[in-house]
Amino acid sequence: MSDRVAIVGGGHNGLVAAAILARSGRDVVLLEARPELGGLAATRELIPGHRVDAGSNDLGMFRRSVIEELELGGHGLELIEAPAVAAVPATADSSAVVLWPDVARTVEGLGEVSRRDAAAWPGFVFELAERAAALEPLLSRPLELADMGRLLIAPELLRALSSPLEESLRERFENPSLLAGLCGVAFPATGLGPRANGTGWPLLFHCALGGSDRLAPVVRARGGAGALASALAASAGASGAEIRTGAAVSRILVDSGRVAGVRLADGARIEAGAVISTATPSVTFLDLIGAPLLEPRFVRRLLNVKYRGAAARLALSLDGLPAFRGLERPALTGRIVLAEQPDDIERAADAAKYRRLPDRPWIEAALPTALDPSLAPAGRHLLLATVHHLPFNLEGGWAAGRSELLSRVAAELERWAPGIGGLVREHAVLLPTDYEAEYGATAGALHHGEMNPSQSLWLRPTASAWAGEPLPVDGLWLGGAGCHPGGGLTGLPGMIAAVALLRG
Amino acid sequence: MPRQAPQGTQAVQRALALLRSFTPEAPEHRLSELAAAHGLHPSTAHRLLGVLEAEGLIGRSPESQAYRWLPGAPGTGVAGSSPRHNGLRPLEPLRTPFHRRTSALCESDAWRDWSGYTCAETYEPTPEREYWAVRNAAALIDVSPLFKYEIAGADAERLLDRVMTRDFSKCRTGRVMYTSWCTEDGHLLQDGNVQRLERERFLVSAAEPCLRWFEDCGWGMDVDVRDVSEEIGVLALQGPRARAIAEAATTGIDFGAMRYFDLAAGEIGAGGGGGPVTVTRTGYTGDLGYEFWVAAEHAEALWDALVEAGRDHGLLPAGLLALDMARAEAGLVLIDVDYVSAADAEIEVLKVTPAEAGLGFTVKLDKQADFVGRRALELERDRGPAWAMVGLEVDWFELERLWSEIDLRPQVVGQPACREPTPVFAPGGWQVGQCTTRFFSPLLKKYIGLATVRGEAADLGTELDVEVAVGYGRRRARARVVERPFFNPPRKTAVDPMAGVNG
Repeated sequence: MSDRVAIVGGGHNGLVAAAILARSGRDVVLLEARPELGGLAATRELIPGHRVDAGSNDLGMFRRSVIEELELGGHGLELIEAPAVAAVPATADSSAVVLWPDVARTVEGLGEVSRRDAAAWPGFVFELAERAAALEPLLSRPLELADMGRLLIAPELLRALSSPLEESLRERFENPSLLAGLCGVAFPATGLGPRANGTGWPLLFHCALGGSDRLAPVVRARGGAGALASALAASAGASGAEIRTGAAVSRILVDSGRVAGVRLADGARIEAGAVISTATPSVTFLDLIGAPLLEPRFVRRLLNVKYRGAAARLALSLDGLPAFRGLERPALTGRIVLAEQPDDIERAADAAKYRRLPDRPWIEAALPTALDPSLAPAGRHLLLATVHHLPFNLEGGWAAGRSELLSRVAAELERWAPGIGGLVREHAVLLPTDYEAEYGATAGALHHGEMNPSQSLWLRPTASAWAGEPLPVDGLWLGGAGCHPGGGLTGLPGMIAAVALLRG
Repeated sequence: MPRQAPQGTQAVQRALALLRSFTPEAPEHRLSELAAAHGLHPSTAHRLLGVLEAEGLIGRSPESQAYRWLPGAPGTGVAGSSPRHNGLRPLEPLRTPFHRRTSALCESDAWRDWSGYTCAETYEPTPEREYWAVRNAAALIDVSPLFKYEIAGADAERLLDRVMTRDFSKCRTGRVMYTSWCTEDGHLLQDGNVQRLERERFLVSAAEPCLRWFEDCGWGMDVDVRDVSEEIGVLALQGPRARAIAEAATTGIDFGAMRYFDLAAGEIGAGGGGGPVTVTRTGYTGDLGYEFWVAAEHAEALWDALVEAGRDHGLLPAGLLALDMARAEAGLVLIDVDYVSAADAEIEVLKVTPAEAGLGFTVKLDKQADFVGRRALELERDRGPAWAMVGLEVDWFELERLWSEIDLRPQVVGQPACREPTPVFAPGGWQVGQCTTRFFSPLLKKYIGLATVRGEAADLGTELDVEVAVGYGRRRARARVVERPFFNPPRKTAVDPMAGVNG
């Protein structure tokens, strides 16, 4: 049996696993199908001269200990923390709302829109931090049986993660823009609207991994999210890992219930005694291994995984900073949530549920050039508009729906930032179907499986087990966002897989 | 006004008067209009109309909410079914494609539900003559309620080899294989026959639904699983005269060359022309026999051809009680009676492996394909099954003695097979299992049973005690483990090129 570990996928999780294993002296080969590394956290020149993040670019949840241990700073990673966490531009009903990492500053701003909400803010942040701190240990390592007890003795935490998010927030707040902003922080992870049960989970998840003392800060890598992948690859390479791009894995080879290696699309066979797959559970088991090698009840479990919550990314090259109503420049550095109230998000989720485009898509916008001007040519700004809650299986298909989506998004942007249309010079689009075709994100789900309580913690596959049963193939570990703790730029699934593999 | 009615019958009279207002010519009436016309208080009219509606005698318009005449309701003289007042079709038992024929013959009116279908338990008041027809002449049994799945495609054999415990790489086209299928833990789900109709087309027949299981097992394979249960009627022709009748009723099949578990395609009718039919030399009686698989639209033609051909051979239609007696004599286990499918077992201890259900011979651990449950069954092979399915023969003299204590002769003769599970004990000791089918075999003149017992109590000749009902009492009668099948005539499997032979 080969001592080599083959890692399927060069996204940030695969790279974390490769770097940790190589550093521990293992013989590692990482195989990435695309020409660039980073997967859904890659930075690509989708617009000439611009460094466009294809997917996630928020390193707020990325494990700090991994950065230190793998010496990513020394390999070129430079983090920039945004001054603002989230902002909602002014609407007819409310002045702009800006959430800052600093509680006092947020309270001061909220005082202008709702004295009640301003008064409630510190308690909310404190309570959230407390719950996040209780949750954090469960997310950063393989779960143990005793962890179940931790949850059971925290009824408030259980209630918060299983409740509808909007309902929980309304227990404290009244201002629609504030409510929308908080929903916007949490929602890029599910196809459910904020009135659905279990939608409290993504916000807690975000806060637990975003540093429990603050509310989900926005942290970016200088040069784009791809700089993280480059630093990880450099760290792994320095420890002796072999990193190959343009090497698509077409099969995980199994011999008598044990992995034997992988086969590449070009027919080459790579022997390996262990395989870490960072592909989605569906791709890993149904496409790369094949259902006929699996027990029917395991196949049924795979088919039951919900991959709801597709998104599209529109990148715009602008002639200048757009004028979002009521937002000053520092407020433009964090997430800009373009929804007037939670119902805007709920209605988008409703439309997606019936395979339609939302009449008024809600948008999570970011202006990475507000923090890092090097991402665009001089004088240009880059706006990344992420449209959440889109149906993957859009009625009529995406080829037909594309232009309709773009015109609705353009209309929304114009409504929130009058005159923005006149600033647009170039644009690029990634649709849900592109995310599946280019990145293997099943059904366009960026989180490799909806983040809701029914698919989290013990109910999400872990590196080596699922629902209490070991994975059906010996020598196979899961290390992607589809397994515990879940999606987002955390590095944790890859780290947990590497640690589990090293432990044997 | 109707004449004054005696107390208590007034409501009936009023209701009938209301019912008579509904005619094909004046089908719809509003409540207020009816109340006025009959001189009733609206609430009284409402109450009476509600009863008529609930009884399916009148209907209600979904749009206007007016009451309306129903075609086919009693008294209107028009046949047809009566929709319920909620507008839904009443849940009716399904009819097999032979139902018009079987219902015309069913003198006993003894029907039983079988997988939602209405099936004759007996055609005559008792199953006796039907049973003897199976053994001495021939019987025609409608077994259409079996679930049928067509499995077709390049990976059809691969799917069957993955699901089934038998080796389907060894099943040639034109053969039928009896097999078990199991869960991942090696627990028996079902047993059934699989026909290989073409190289890439099979037909599975099963007692319980299993479409989803086949689909789950076949995920990712180039195979199409289709439920054809309602499209195909199945008739079992069983008994020593079966071949002569089958030859006379069909064209294009060489019955002389047909071996046990062969299948052949032919035409219905002595000169053909009645439509295509597939014949398998299979059955559930342990006798010479065939099963006829026919498209529903040709079902009646098949029935008529067989009945016509059977006229001089003593052919009788037989119901499920006679079939049950014959299958017990043949020692054939029945799902839900002699074993519980792992799909239905509510507790772990009810689940059995094929070996424990007497179907160990269907498990081919030497086959190449990795079938569902294989690993668990390999472990069982090494450690030995915990249970065994055995044949029991109850000591007649002891049975006579027990009954004589209450001054009766054994009240077991002429009874259909009893399916109520009863405990089996080590002689004078603890329970070692249960007897799930038992009856007095008219042919063997023995009181026999099928029992699941602990492995150590399964050897031939082992003496056991079976609990039997003696009047109102429950007594233990001595029994002996005997060879299963109890009855196994050479004609069941004999191949004879001569036409119309019987055994």
